[in-house]
Amino acid sequence: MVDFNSQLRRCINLDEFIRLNNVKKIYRMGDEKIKALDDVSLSIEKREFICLIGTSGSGKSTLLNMMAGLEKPTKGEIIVNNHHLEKMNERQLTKFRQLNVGFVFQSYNLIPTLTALENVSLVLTFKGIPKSTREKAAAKMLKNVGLGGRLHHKPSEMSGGQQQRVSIARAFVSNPRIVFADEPTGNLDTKTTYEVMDLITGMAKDFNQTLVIVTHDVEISDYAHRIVHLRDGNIEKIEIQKTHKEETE
Amino acid sequence: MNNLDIVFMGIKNLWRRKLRTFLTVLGVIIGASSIIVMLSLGFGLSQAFEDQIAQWGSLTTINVQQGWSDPSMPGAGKEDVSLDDAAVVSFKTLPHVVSVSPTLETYGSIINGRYVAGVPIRGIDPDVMEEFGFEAGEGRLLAAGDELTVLFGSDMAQNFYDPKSRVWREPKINLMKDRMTMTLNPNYGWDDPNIPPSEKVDYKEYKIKVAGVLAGGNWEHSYGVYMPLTEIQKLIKEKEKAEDLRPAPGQPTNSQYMRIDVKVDDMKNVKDVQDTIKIMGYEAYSLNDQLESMKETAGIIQLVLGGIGAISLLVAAIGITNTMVMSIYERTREIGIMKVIGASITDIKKLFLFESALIGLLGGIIGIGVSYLLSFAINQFGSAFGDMFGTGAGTKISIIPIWLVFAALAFSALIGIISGYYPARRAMNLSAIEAIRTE
Repeated sequence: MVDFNSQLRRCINLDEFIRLNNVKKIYRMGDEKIKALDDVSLSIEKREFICLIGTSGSGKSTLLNMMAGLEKPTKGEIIVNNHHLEKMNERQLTKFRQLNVGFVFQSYNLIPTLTALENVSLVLTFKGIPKSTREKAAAKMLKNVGLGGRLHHKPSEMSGGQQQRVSIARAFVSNPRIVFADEPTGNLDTKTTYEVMDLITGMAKDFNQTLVIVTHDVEISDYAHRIVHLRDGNIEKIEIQKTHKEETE
Repeated sequence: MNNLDIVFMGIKNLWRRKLRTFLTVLGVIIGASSIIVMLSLGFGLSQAFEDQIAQWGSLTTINVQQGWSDPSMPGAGKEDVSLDDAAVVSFKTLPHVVSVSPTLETYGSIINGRYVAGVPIRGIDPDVMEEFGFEAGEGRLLAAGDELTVLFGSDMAQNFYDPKSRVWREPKINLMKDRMTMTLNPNYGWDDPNIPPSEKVDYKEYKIKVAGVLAGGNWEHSYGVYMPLTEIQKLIKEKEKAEDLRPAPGQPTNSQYMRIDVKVDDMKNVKDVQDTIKIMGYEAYSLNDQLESMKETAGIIQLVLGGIGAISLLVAAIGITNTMVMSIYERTREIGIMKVIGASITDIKKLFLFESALIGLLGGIIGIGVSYLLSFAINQFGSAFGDMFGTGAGTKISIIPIWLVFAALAFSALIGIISGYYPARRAMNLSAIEAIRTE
């Protein structure tokens, strides 16, 4: 019954937020062509938590980058929030990312010369938000991730878990509609992994955000509403664990 | 992204690499100061030329004389112009003319005890003396009501000699205090025994009062005696009466002046006014003629000097480009991160252009300071250098006009922006996803 309901909703596209139609991506390495994505079609709803899982080389990171507008497909359509990403130029993509996307990386990707506070507020800097406002917002977000006491530490003075928390704060500070995470726990131990995952999923839920996580860790996929298994550039299967509707009810 | 944020971020980035920033800025300092100092030498040179010519007379004065026409030349002398009061009036109405001073000149002798000086006696309008650069060294200038009052040229004391003495000695006279007489007898002291006494002209000797002695520094005013125009006209009439001569044809008559000086409001208008007067049929000269050609020479020298300076600025510009390219290699990952988290490509471009412009501007500012120091040192210790150019001591060898300071600032910032343009484009076009993967 529940399944039918969600199927129905998908048919009338009420809550659809991301739509991929026959996406293909081929990399050229010299003369050799490498097929990263073969023919991927996928639909993701608002407030959904999707896990992309697969071995390395399965194309999961490529897929994530495309949905974030960081890479362009060789063929196919990528529609996010009614924007055709494949048709946008660099300038429009930047604007799109600024307004819609938050990013969490495996290697944190914090700017080493900036403090935690500066790293988080940098996102708002690019949006042109004045200094006092953005620093207040950044400090609040860092408190949310439990780093209220480390605002003025540089990345090199923090542990991996703490750095990833800064990175999470950075991804959520501009209140994006969608957050992408590429192996967010890849460099963390098991205990920290759970802390970080709880943090990400909790915040995404609180702010009604769509969350797409790439991982090869099956335990992490337990958090997801749906798990998309990728293999050699194709979707192998989609596991539905629960729906976000069910969760909210 | 806010412009203020770009400024702070750019300063921070440059500060992060202090040594490299300093070295790059140093390059610009050397480039900017060498170009400024080289140009300042050129300005000094052209100023020296100007000063030199100004010593020969005023640069804004045009000398107008009777048009010389050759009757045998066809078309010549089509209009008979004369230097009379009508000419004075017509010059006064020309645009840019400040004042006009007609000069009458005759020749006479000044007698001071046993000393005599044969001098040109010039009648001028006392009202315009100041405007034509007359300056009293002692006493005062002439005034309108002066009768039989003279104003001596600055070097007149040296012109007196003792006709009875065989060797020349420094005359012991005081122009301001001694009693003197003047005569318009052109042959005073040279009694020609061949002329019978009956034909001798009885020239009047006038007791003269002295108004003052002109200040030195202007070669035109160093020699001769000045009197009010009306006085000279009166004296000339008396002389002619004594000689019982009618004015010879072609000679200047009472109503004709020897020459008319025309004062122009600004140096740049001298040429126009001079040309206009020439078209009216007069001969017109001004020191501007010489100045033009000397300035041209100075300009060429300045161009060569500036070119030498420009080479070092070019090297500095390459230095900026190199620094910025290196900086982008180092910051590739950072640029990638910034792009992914929402920096627009214009933000990235602006950031890098600002950094390179700041390097240029900093170099320019410090370069100007260094130039002033160098310029000061050259002016202080470089008189030997000045002799080489033949400008002599007294005038500055190196002059930095204020506009050059601003031009140098703008130019060095511009050089920074141009040098940073290629690196900024590179940063702009970096693929975010590839940049983020670089370690």
